[in-house]
Amino acid sequence: MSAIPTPPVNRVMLQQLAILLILVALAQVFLGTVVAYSILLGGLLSIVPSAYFAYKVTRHRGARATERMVRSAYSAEIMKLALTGAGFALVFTQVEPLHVAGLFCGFMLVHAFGLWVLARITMPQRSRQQL
Amino acid sequence: MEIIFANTLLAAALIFGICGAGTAIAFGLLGGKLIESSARQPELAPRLQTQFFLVAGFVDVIAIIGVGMAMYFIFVQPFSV
Repeated sequence: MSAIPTPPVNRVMLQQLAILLILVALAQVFLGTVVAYSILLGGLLSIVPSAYFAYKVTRHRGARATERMVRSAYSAEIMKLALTGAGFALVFTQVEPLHVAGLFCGFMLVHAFGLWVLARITMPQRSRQQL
Repeated sequence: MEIIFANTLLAAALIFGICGAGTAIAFGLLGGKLIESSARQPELAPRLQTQFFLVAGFVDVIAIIGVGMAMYFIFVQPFSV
């Protein structure tokens, strides 16, 4: 077990799930069930491949494991793209009725929120003020 | 009708190809720089790996949205009458 701390990816995933549930609840109240489950599917299509990527990349830590980490990041990225593509294909063929705009909105909002949370956590306060 | 379908498939293939090539180039540069920087300053490796994870997220966001749009073009075929 490495003593080097892992990047806080669990916190990012949990916060993504929380914002997704809030979005789904708001959509259920104001826009209806079809939009709500389309947003839910879009959000899950963002979270599940990202969780796989995070699991594969954060397995190796430290200077000696950098090469292994980069190698596993390459394969994880291929799998991430494949999982996303397969997920979208599955949703478009199996889910009827589907609100396509809701699906893409859920996907992009959850993805953007995850990147924002990750940037806030990983970048120190001082470097953020310099940007 | 067939022309529209064929052009839609061509567009999807172009999206897949450009997104894949862009991500591959970006990840190649990113991974190379990470290995180089870790070899120069091993004490910074954990911090660099965290930054790598963050930048990897930024690199593939357009590619992933592109894959989603390509799947939409293929399976929903929004341009067919």
